[in-house]
Amino acid sequence: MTNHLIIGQYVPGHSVIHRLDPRAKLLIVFAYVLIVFLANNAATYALLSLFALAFAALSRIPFSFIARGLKPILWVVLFTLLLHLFMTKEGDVIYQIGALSVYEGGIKQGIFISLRFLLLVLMTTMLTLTTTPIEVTDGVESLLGPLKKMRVPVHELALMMAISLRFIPTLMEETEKIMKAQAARGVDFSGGRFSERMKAIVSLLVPLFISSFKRADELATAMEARGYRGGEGRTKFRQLAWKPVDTVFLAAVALLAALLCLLRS
Amino acid sequence: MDIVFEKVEHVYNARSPLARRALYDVNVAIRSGAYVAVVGHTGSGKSTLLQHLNGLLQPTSGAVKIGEETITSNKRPKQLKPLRKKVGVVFQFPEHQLFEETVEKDICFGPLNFGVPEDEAKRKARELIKLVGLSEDVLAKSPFDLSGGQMRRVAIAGVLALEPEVLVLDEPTAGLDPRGRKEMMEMFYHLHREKQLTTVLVTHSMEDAARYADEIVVMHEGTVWGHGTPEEMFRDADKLAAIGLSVPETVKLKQQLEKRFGVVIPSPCLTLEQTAEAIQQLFSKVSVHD
Amino acid sequence: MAEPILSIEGVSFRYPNQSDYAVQNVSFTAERGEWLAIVGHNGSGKSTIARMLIGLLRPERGAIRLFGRLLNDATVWEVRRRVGLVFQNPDNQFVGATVEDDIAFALENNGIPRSEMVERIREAIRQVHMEPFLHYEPHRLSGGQKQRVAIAGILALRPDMIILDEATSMLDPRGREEVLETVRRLNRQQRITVLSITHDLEEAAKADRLIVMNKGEVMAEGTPEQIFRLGSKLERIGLDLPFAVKMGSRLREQGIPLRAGYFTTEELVEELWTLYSKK
Repeated sequence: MTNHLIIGQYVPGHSVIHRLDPRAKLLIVFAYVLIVFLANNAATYALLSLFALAFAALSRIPFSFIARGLKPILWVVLFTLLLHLFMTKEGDVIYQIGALSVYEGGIKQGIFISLRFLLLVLMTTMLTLTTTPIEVTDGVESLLGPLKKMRVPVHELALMMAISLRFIPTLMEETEKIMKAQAARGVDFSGGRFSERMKAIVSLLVPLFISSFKRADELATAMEARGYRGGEGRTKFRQLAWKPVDTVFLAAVALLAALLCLLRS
Repeated sequence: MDIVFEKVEHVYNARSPLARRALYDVNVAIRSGAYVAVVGHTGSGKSTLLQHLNGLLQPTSGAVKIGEETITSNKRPKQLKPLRKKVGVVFQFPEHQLFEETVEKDICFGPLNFGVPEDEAKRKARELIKLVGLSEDVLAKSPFDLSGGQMRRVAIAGVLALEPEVLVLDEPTAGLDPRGRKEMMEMFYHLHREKQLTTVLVTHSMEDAARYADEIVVMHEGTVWGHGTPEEMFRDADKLAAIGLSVPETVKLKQQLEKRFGVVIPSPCLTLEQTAEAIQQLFSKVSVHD
Repeated sequence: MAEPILSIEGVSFRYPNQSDYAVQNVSFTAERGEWLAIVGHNGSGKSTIARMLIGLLRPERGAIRLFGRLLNDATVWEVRRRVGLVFQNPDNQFVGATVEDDIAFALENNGIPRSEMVERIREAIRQVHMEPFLHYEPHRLSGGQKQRVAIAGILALRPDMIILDEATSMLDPRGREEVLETVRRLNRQQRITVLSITHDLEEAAKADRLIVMNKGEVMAEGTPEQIFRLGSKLERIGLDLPFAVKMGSRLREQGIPLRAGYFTTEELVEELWTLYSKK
């Protein structure tokens, strides 16, 4: 049950990026995702790439590891590239294969759009690679704090998210156990006719749902027993500390945005 | 069906940074018709071992021979189904595998997967529900309306319905109260003898191992620490204590009596009855001397 | 004598849509610092009592008093602060992402200031001997360790009473011993009242006092010695006597004139030796 998708997998470390306040990281990545769309020429894309590469380098996560994680999306990038290569009809014709002609604009567009996609994935991956899910949750809760005034149940949502994250390994284990138990009763999860496959899935999902509901019920009881009664009057153990370095990084993103505005054509 | 483990090793997540060796150099032979108890701490490799018995796991090196079939790291039978039909596994908390709308359907699920005709599967369900100590009218109920203990019995019936030659039990009594535990162990013992099964019981209970098993395999830190009759395995309490395992209460009593009385008690004292008998003899000897 | 820390009087309870009472006319008390065991087979109503004691279920009839005050909507949150409940399934009561977060959970609920939390968490984790695991996620802990974290979460609130609701029944022998040893130490050293709900009479043998439940009613109450004299009556309601008691009564049946009233193997050996040397 191992997957090689690294999106969402935390890699422990003590780099400057790891130690950034999760709120800062969330804001940086969010801002980056927006300003990516400002880029429209070689200079601006180079600047954006430079920023993302520097960010990745500072995390001290081996680049080969990040690259391996990006592999699964490569075919999407390739597809985007090809699509633009053949569909955009701007500028001079560079190359001609039969009825298909490749224009200068197509090459440019293809490279830019796939680069944009790659950068977006890279930056969001950097967030999850260097931030534990619980820190992300804390960050989201804190950033959404102002919404509490508008009666958005921010605390409850954050707690829900935290509990879901906490139970992912438990449910993975449970899934494996049930699959094994059903396999021992002759279920083949790897193949068979459509109807057999459906039956196999049902034999996994029904027990999984039932045990999850039972868990949810017991957990709710346990939370009540431990004095939980909503967000009111609750103190918080996990604390976020905004440090000067967080401000510096945000300033860097602001600078990047300003430069992009200046350099774009 | 004889089962033989030859130099079996199992590494989880082999060839990755998360690699973890759960079994190594495991050599065990389980003869057909034996009742074998596997004991050891959590993490000793017991449950990894048992998953090799029906091909749920493949050894990363060495070979597992189950009857005619051989499973090695690069070779396993093309069809695992025949093997899985012959080796039934009752996992811990087997009630977690129930999913059908009715008890009858759930019991029939396994047999139908193995191509047993529906009529016959239903007939078997009726027979088995009584065997596990429930009444026939339970068949029409939803398994989820039953009590925990009843659900477990239904799940066990679902495994027995495969009519396996080898029955593997992974702590089948966990969470039951004393009466439930005793009834269930007696049921398995009865089945073992009546259907001439080969039974492999994974347990923490030294009492059950002593009472029911012909042989005990002691697992420790991923390999076989000892293998022999209960009498042999429980002879040296200190050695077992060194790996954090205990001997049954009866054997403890026997050893304390031997020490206090300065005598040797010839009986292995594996059950309460045997031990009471042995003490009786100890006392009657004294009377003879008088 | 001081007022009991807990007293329940004539309590009955029925689950919704059930005609039979899960708990019927149950009364008992617990003294401060006492270890009280409630024993009974699965479904005898013992867990229902635990849930009523911290206001998770409300009795249909009868009254529950804790610390001299009636349990009701006004007092329930204070009761939940002073009485901790350890449930059966170690996984389904672990709320936090890591050990320290989980211990903090109840502190957060009770509005304890952050600065005080750190100190209390450190103290609690020390008492259950889990210091090296402070930053561990639950899936890297054994069942016994998770239960000890649950106990630490209770200790951080500086409780008066701990209720173990079948808290060891899903654990292996080592985990069970870890948990019981921890609770025993707390009971002795800090005089925390312990209410242990179990079907394991071997475990209950170490209590100061036992209450035997059967079909929702109290069948017997007394010291372990008094209770084990009931012998086969206990077996008939699905319980298993401690080994030495079973062995003793078997030997008596065989005509060895053993006196009743011991329940460890050591005591049985001494008893037999006394008889043997008299011959």
